[in-house]
Amino acid sequence: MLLEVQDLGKSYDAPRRRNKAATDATSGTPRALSGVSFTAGQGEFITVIGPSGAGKSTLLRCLNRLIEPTDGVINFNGRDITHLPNGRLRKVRREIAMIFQNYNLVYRLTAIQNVLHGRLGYKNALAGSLGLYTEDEKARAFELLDEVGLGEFAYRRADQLSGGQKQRVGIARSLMQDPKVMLCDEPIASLDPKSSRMVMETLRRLTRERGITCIVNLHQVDFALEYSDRIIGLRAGEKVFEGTADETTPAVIRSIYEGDAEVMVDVPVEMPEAAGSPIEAGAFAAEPATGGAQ
Amino acid sequence: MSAEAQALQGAPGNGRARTVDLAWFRRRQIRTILGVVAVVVAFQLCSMVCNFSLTYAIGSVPAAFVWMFQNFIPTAESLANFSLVLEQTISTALDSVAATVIAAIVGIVLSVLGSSTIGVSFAPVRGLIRAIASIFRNIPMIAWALLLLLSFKQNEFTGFLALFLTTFGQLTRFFLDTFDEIPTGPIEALKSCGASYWQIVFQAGLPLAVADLMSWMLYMVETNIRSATLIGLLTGTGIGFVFNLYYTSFRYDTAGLVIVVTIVFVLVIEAVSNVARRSMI
Repeated sequence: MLLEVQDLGKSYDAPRRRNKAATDATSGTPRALSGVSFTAGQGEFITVIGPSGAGKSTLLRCLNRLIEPTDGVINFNGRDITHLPNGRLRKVRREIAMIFQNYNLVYRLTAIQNVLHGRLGYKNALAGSLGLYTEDEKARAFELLDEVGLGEFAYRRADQLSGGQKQRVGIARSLMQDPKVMLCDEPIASLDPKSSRMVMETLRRLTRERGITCIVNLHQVDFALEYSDRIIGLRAGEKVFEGTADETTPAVIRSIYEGDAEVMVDVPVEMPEAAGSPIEAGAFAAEPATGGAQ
Repeated sequence: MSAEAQALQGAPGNGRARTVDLAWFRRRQIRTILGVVAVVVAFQLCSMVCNFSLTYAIGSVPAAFVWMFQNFIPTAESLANFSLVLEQTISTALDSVAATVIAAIVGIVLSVLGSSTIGVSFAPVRGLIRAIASIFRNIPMIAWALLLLLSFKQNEFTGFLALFLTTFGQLTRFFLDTFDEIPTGPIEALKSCGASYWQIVFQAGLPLAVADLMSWMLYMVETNIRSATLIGLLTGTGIGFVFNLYYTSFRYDTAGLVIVVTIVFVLVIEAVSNVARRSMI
């Protein structure tokens, strides 16, 4: 497996491990992440869904250690990266690209400069700082911009691009890294439906054509159902569901978002049975309407 | 059933939130009026204590201006000193530009390291940088000049150093604020690409901050040209010295010429820096 995550946990209030159990039991503070395990193979499209504050972003940021996990093990490409020191972590990070809800481009620089940032992990401190890229790298950056349909915007400053264009520059930047895995943190949360679809299509193409593994945090369940090979449900820092899009029934979705204890899943495959009568599922679908009337 | 229960529960809450209290507006008005009255009373009390008369003060302003204009208007004979005045003004201006630019360079280095966004992760270092900036900023420029006069005597370098030290403190403080406010997203993004610390500083930190940094630096250049005039009085150099010389020997027309040239110079510098600022946005 390309990526194996075991028992991943993150708590902010108890940095010392020996106090962990005590803190959890007494204060009852929910941990940002606890006991999350899953694996991701090459070219898989995995989405992580769950309510706000469920720990989706924390999970993604733990995978490339932008956030240091407090428990568990992350194996990437057959290697434990959980405690790698900084220098070697840099080398791992260039193979794990990330794209963000707010695009996180350096908005005062041009599109092409932002794309070239993807190479920084491969460059020495001086060349990287001064922005001295090789001719090959520059040519590749233009190629990638063309590929995401922004060839003519290469010299446009990032703050003059639309949201969808910015996200595509973000994707080009991450491809510049030649990544094996792409972590996408709410990539379409700030985009209109058309741009959202374009971005999701691009991500899916990457998994199919380049064998890049995509792990995507999403709020839009319909997109998750449409694009994912596998869906992981996260609630209150714990994994409460894992299964294919077909297995993700409305009842499952409700259990992820509302935490109905009765339909909580241990064995995903049996989930649809345990979910209860179709009437209940129907009630879930009708709920927004009742909510509006109140 | 459950919806009904919810509605019932919700009702008292809604009622509380919508409490109608028209007297609230009157209470606010009264508070505003009381505030204004308090300021007026305080002013009157203070005036009485220190024997200040507002009407007399306002009344004497026109006469003072008339006197100033009569004495300080540059005359034809003062124009004989024009080349000296111009030369000294340029030298003073260049001195303050040099002091500001060097202060800015030192300030950028320190504020990068001391900022909360791209600073060093070791907190005491950041605290120390903030403390240094604070100390240098809060000692007045005149105090620096007087202190430095003792060791460096009356020369241009003393003035340069006094300007540099205060400017450095002030700019470091402004720069720290600028770096603290840059968005952290792009920094996180570069980190996730595997970029190293200095790569992040040069490829994200500086590009995001550079327009504000330059804007503050240009502002300090303008302020420093004014301050340098004052410092010259103490250090016996530059345009400040020329002004002092003619002022103390009652040749007000040449002193007036110094003022006019200085004002023109400051305005020109301000115009130039406005153009520079606009081109950098």
